[in-house]
This record gives sequence, structure tokens and C-alpha cells, in this order.
Amino acid sequence: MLLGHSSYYFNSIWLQLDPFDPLFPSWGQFTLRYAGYLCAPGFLMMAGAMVWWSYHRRVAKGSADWSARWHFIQRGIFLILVQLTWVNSSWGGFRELKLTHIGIIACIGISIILLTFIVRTKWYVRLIIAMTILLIHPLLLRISYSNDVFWQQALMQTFIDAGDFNKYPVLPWFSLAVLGSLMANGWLGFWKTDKEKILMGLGIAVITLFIAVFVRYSMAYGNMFSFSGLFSYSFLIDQKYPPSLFMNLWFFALVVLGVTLFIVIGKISPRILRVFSIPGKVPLFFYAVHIAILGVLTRIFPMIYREGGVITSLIGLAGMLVIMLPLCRWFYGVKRRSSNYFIQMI
Amino acid sequence: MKNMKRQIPAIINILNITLLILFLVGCAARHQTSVETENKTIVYPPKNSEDLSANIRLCRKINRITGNPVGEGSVFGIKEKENLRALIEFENLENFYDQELMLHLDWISPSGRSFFMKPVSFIPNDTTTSILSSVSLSPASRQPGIYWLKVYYFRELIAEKQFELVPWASLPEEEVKAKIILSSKIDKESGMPVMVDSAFRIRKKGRIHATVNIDNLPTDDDVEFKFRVEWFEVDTSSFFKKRVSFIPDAKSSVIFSSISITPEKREAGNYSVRVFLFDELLAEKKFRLYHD
Repeated sequence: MLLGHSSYYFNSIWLQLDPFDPLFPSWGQFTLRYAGYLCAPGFLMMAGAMVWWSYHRRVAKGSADWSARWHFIQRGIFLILVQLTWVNSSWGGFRELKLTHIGIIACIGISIILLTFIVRTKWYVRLIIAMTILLIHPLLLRISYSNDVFWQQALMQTFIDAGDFNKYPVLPWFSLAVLGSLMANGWLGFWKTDKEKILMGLGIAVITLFIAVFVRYSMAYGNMFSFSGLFSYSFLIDQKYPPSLFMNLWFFALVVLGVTLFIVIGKISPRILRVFSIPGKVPLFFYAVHIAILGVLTRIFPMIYREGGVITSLIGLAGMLVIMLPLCRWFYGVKRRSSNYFIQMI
Repeated sequence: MKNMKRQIPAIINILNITLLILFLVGCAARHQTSVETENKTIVYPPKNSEDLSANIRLCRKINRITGNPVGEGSVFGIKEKENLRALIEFENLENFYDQELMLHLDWISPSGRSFFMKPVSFIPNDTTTSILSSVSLSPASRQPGIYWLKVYYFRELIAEKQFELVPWASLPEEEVKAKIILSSKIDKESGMPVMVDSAFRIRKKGRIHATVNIDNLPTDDDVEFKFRVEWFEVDTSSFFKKRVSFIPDAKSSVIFSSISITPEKREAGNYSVRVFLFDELLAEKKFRLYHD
């Protein structure tokens, strides 16, 4: 994510790059962009897993059913408000307040609220819900609407399509959150040992990868664009905004593979991961603050805005880590000590 | 799960590294080092020699009959109601008949921003050899500077070409020039003059061929150029003239004219051949005829 955002602010390719129809002058630029594609599925799946686990833990500790659910509804609403106010404005260095636009944080917020209503259902019911949404979504994209009529644009792009109002429509991303809650059933419920978690994770990831490749290669239902060859740029990038069926399956598998890899590394050498865990303790703070810093920095120093390339983006990543890691450590301390409602929400 | 939530960035970073390694192995279908073609197109050759390649030709117009570019170059004047056209010519297109191809033509301004992106999706057949894109050269929409046209094939850059837009008035106006070569023969295969001379023997079935090479023809406008090749016996009026009219589609062109120099038709003496453009003398070449 940080790498992708560093590229967004420092990389001159963004003078030409249309995120809805991306073109790449080199594999370096392609890799830079594609690596960032992993973040949104990762966030949604982790949000789904977190809701499932946290709900059941709260209920186990004695919370009433709707009291536990209400906590997540509040959290969802808070995320939507953060998107509309802080996040929207921070992208441009707080030049203007943009209330008529939503994005990934609002999408996570809405998904958390929706997931609250099915969090108690059996895993196979949630699997059916997620797969039904994934399969129906390509059909819903055929609904025609006018971008000039605000309510049509807002309704369609909040839930189904992607555009200027919202690049992250809820339906396809919500299905990933539901799949994340399913995986939490396994990681934190059914599978007791690390070996079991690794084997099951690998199995699910590999099977899903095969299904994704089959869906894409056969150019069957749910594909958006043709491709030149197996694992070419055009094969790997079908459509992100909104995600095609292939993209959802592919990145679900990659996130599961990543978590499995993480479990393996955690078993072998947990120290390697310690440094990266700092932002993980305060993810919303990390997200909101790093964009604000980048937005303000490039507003004050316009000479660095989109002037570099791949190397500049990597340097930007390193620089932002130097700034953000101590900030996250500091805020985590504040959050632990504070009982303030808003601090706890961040 | 609490630990897992905290480790989200770690998961993502590890995956990023894994992806980077995967892509280092290479999913790009093109070599990263480019080559420059004769017409200054920068081409990224395919790793598979049978894959598609493209060459970019920039011009003001396309000849409606021949389909050839008119006014080809890399420097163009900004002018009202003028357009710049790009002809993208393909190699190995025959390997992709009946397959849907995805192309994007991206026009980049001097600021580095894309000012017009044309997505093209097409299924080639045996009549397809190229695709066309054009942008306005009107002063309202273009500023002087260095521009680029980039061609992407299935989202991957395969060719790019730089060009310059300048104010119309700063384009040099070159004079049309003509050079006359006289010869006894024209090579049938090459069309080149053979036995070039300025003195020719009067003989049975004898002829003189004038090959007129014309340069600096303007190709920007649809103006018909009217040439006249006229043969003179010195101090007398002309005895033969040939008129040639055409709209130039290239900066250079060639006109041919010939006369008979048999004993029945010509006498020994001094002669000349003159080339006129719109009745103004462009070039003259003197020659002599003699008997054995």
C-alpha cells in the first residue's frame, strides 16, 4: 500500500496512467502497480476475519448479541465518516473538502456493517453468499446508468460499478470480506495446529489459483478483457475497478497464500516480522496519516510531485517507513493508555 | 487472530516481495532495451520473434488513393484546421488473424500528461495492415514543444515516437528545386539515366531523355503543382513541351521527358531543355547535337 501510494505521489507514470485502463512502459512500473493490487483484497479479507473473530470473542465474554454487533456497526459508520472527511481531503493535501466521493475505507466500513448481519451464520452459508455475489456481480455490471444523474451514479458506484464517485463498489469487495470471515473460521477455529493451518491454507490457495487461471484462460464468464498470453500483463490485469471474477479469485488465493507464508515465517523466525507488526497495531492511523503526509508534502514541494520513476518510488517508501514506524509506535502507546471513544476507533 | 491483525502489513510486504521475484522472472513479452528504426520510431522488440511489432509514421495527411502518408516527418507546424496523423504499421499481423487484439495509442504532451488516449480493439484480417489515429494541431489545443506518441499492445509498450510541434510561421519555407539530367538511354529496370552527356549524335532511332529530379516539394496542402518540360532550339521558339500536374505526397519527385534526334527531325546545333513550375523557370540544361 505504502509502495503504491509512494508511486502515486512521486512516480511520473501517474501523469499518464489511467487506473481504469492501465498501460505499462516497463515491467518495473508494472510490478510496482501490481504489487499494490494486493492491498485492497488483503484489507477486506482481514476486516472480514477480524469482524468474525472479534464478534465471537465478545459474545464469549458475555456481550449480548446485538451489543456486539452494534460495536461493528459503529466502527463501520466511523470508517465511512473518516473516508468522507479526512481521507478524501488528505489525498490533495487538505486543499478542499470532498464530501461527494467515497473509496476503500468507506467500502470497508460498509462491508463491516453488512457482515455484522451474517456473522453468526454457518461457514457454508457465508460461502454461498460470497460465491453468489461474485457470480452475480458481472451480470449486474450490465445495468446501464447515467454518470450525469448523481443519484444513479452514487447508487451504482457505491454497490456495483466503479467510477469517479467510487472506485471500490461494495458488492465484489464485500464478498472478499465474507470470504475473509470464512478463512477466520479455519485459521482461528477448525484448524488447531500450525501444520493444519499451513496445509489447509496452501490447499485452498492453490485450488483457487487454478480455478482463477481456468476462468481467465478460458475467457469464460466474468472476464472483461482479452489477453495476449498466459501470465502476460493483460492476463494478470483483467480489471481492478471494479474487480472481475478472475481478479477476486486470484487475489483471494494470493492473500490466503500470504497468510500461510506468514504463518510459516512466524514459526521459523518471528523476529523478521516484528518490525512490520508496528503499523499493524494501528492500521487506520497508519493509512490516514501516511496519505496526509504525502499529500501535504507534495503540496508544499510541488517539484517532487510525480517527477520520478520506480527508484524514486522505492526511496519514497523507505523515507515514509522511517517517518511512519515511530509515529505508529507512539500512537499505539497513546491508544493503549487512552479510553477516549474516538482514539479507540482509530 | 489479534496477532494476525497486527501483522497485516507484514503479510502484504512479504507478498509484495514474492510478487516482485515472480515478475523478475518475467511476464513481460517485450525486451526492455529498445531499438530505433530508420524513421526514428523507438521499438521494444518482442521476445518471441513471431509476435506483433509496430512502426509509427507521422504525417499531415493520408493519400486517399494510395493510402500513403503525405507530409511525413517529425516536426509539424501548429495551425488552425490542421491535423497530425499517425499511421501504425504492423509486422507479423498475419499471425493474429481472427484474434481480438487490444491496442492503445497514447498521445503525450510536453508536460508528460496524456492528452488523448485511443483504445483500439480489433480483429485483424487479410486486409488489415495498419491503424490510424489523429489529433488536432489547432493553436487552441496545442502548444509548441516535444510530444510523444506511445503504442501499447495488450497493455505493454511496444513502440513510441517523439515529435515536435512548432509555430507555423517558424517552419522554414524551402524553394522547390529541379535538376535536369540528359542521357541517351534510360535503364529499363532501374529507371535511371544511362550514357549521361551534354552532346548527342544525331542518328537513326536516336533519342534524348531528360530526367528531372524535383526536391523540396511542399506536402502540407492539397495544391496541384503544374510543371512543364519544354525543349528549345537556341534562339528559336520551343519545338516540344510536356505538361505534368500532381499533388505532391513526398518532398521529392521525378519527371521524365524525351525527344527524338533522328536526321529527319533535328539539325546539328545548340539546344536547351527548360523546366517550369507555374510558368516560372525552375531549371535549364543546355546540350549540343552533332552529325558524324
